[in-house]
Amino acid sequence: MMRTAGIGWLVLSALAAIVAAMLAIQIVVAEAEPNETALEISVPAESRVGDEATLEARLTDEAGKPISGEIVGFYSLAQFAGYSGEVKLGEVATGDDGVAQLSHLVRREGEIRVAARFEGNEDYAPSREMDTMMTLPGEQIYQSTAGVHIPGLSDLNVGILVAVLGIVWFIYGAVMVRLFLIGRASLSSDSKEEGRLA
Amino acid sequence: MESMRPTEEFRQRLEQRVLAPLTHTGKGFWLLVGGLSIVVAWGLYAYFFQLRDGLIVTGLGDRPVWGLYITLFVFFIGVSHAGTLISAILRVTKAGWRTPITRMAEFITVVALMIGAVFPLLDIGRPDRVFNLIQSGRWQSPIIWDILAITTYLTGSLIYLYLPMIPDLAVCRDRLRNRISSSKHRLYRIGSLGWQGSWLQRKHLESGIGLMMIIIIPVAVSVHTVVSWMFAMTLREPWNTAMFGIYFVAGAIFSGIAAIVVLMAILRKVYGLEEYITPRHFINLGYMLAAFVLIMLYFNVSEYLTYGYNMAGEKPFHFEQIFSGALAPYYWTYLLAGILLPGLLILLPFTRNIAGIVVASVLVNIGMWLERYFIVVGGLRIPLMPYEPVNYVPTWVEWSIMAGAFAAFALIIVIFAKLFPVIAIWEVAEHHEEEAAQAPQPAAPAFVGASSFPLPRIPEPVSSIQHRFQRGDGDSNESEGE
Repeated sequence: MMRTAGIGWLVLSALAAIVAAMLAIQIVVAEAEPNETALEISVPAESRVGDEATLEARLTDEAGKPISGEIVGFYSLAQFAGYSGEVKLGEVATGDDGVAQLSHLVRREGEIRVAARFEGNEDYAPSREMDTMMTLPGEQIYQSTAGVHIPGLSDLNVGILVAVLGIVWFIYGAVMVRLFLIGRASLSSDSKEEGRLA
Repeated sequence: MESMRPTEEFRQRLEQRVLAPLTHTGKGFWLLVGGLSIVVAWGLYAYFFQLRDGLIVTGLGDRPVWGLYITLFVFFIGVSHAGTLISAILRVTKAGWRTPITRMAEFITVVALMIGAVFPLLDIGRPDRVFNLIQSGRWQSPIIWDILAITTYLTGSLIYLYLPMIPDLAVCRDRLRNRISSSKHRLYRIGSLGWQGSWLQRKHLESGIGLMMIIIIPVAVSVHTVVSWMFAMTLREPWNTAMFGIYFVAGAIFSGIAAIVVLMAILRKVYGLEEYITPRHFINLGYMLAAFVLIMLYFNVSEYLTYGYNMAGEKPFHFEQIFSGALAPYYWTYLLAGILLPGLLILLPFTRNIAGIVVASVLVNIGMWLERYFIVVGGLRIPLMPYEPVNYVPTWVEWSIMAGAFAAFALIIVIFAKLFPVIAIWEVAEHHEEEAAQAPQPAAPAFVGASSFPLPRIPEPVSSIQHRFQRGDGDSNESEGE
C-alpha cells in the first residue's frame, strides 16, 4: 500500500513537473514574441509624370516609439498583361526618427497605389501600410537613346536624311521634266511640219 | 525587193522577232496565265484567313516575330538589284554586250520591288494600321528609312525602266498599228510621248538616261543597306554588326544576277531569242556570279571567324544552331549548294555553258533564299531571357502566300513580256551596227548642256527607219499614214 502511494506521488510529481516545464516554456515563448510595429505612409497627394515624388514611411513600435535602422520597402501596385502585383520601387533604412524616405520618379499618370512594407525581424513584427497618389500627365520621360547621333551635328540628323532624299527626288524631278520636254518636242516638231506643209 | 544592208536586215529581223509575241498569243500563254492566276488566287485565299483570324494562323508568335514574310521581303528586294547591276553599272561602264538583257533586268527590278514591298504589310497582321507608321513614325527608325528607301528605289526603277523604252514604244506604235487592239495601240502612243527621234528628243532622252543611270546605283545600294539595318540596328547578337550592310548588298547583287540568268534562259527559249541572247551573255554573267561566289565566301569566313573568335554571350548558342543545330541544314545547304557548287559549275570548263550556268543560278537563288531564312529565324531563335528557344515552323498560310508571291512575280513578268518588247530593240540594233562597222562611229552631236557621262546612242528617227524598211505586211501604208 505504501509502495503504491509512493508511485502515485511520483507520477503526480512528474506530471506537475511536466506541466510546470510547459508553462515555463510558454512563458519563455511569450516573452520572445516580437513587438508589434506600425507604419505610417505619406505620399504627395498630387504630382506630375516626370516629378521626383518623395515617399515617406514612419516605423514605430506599439508604444509609438520610432524604430531606427530597419529596412522599409516601397511598392506600387501595377497591372500588366493580365497580371497584377507589387512592383518594388526601392528600399530605405529608417533614420533615428523612424522615417524612411524614398525619392521616386513618377513614370505614369493616374491613381497609383503605393505600399510601404516592413518585413519584420526577431524584435519587431512585420507591418504594411498603403496610400494613394494621384499623378497628372507631365513631360515625356522616356527618351530613346536609339537613333543616329552624330557628335556636333545632333540637330542636323533629320536634316541630313531630308537633304539626301531631297537631292535624289530633285534629280527624279529633273528627269521627269525631260520626259515632258520629249513630249513637247514632238508637239513642236509636229506644228513645224504642219506649218511647212501649209 | 531591193537588197538591204546587213545591219538593216539585222534590225528588221530583230524587230520581227521581238515584236512577234506582242501580236501573236498562243494557247500556251493562256495556260500559263491561268495556272499562275490559280496559284495567286490560292495565296489570296490564304491571306484572307490571316486577315480574318490574325497572325495566329501563322507560325509567328511573341518570340519568332519575323519569319517567312520578312525572309521573302529581303529575298525579293535582293533580286531587285538585278536591274541596277546589269543595266546601270554596265551602261555606265559602256559594256556593249549588256544591250539584249537590260530590259529584262530593269523589269525584274520593278516587279521584285513591287512584290517584296508587300511583305512587311503581310507581316504586321493589321495592314490598316500601316498609316500609324507614317503618321506617328520617327525619323530615327530604320523602318521609316526602309519605307523611304524602297519608295525612292521603286520610283527610280520605274523611271529607269520607262526611259529607254520610249523609242521602242514608238516602234510598237508605228509597226503594230493594224495588228493590235486600239487600246494597246493607245498605250504605245501615249507611252512613246510622240517620239520621232528628233535631235531635241534624243538630247532630252540621253540626258534623262544619263542622270538616272548614275543616281539609281547609290539608291539601289542604299536600299539593301537600309534593309540590312532593319536587323543590324537591333541589339540581337548575330545581327548587330557593321558588316551586315555590305553583306546584304553583295548577296542582293548575287541573287539579282542569278535571277536575270534564269529569266534570260526562259525568254530566250520561249521567244526564240537565240540570235540576240547568246552563250556569251550567259558566260559573262556566269563570271560575275563566280566573282560574287568568292565575295560571299570571303564574307562568310570573315564574319564567322571574327564572330567566333570571341565566344561570349549568345555566340555559342548561335554557332551551335547554325553549324550543328536546328538551322544547320539551311546553313550547309546554302554554303555547299548555294555558293560552292555554283562556283564550281561556272569555273569548270565542261560545265561553263548555258545549262551549267542556269543550274548554278537556280542553286544561287535557292541558296540565297535559305540564307535570308536562317538569318531572320536564327536571330530571333536566340533566347534573350532564360527560356527554351522556340522553333519557328511556317504554316500552310505562309507557304501558300509565298507560292502566291512567286506566282504573282512570274505572272507580272509574263504579262509584261506580252505588252512590251523584252529586248531593247534600239540599243541592240545600235550595238550591232557598232560592231559591224568595226570602226569608230562618228562622234555624236555635242549637245549643249548634255551630260559628260557615256551615254547611249539613240537610233535614228523611227519615221526614217520606216521609209528605209520594206515590209510586206501593210507597213508601207503605215509609213504613208505617218
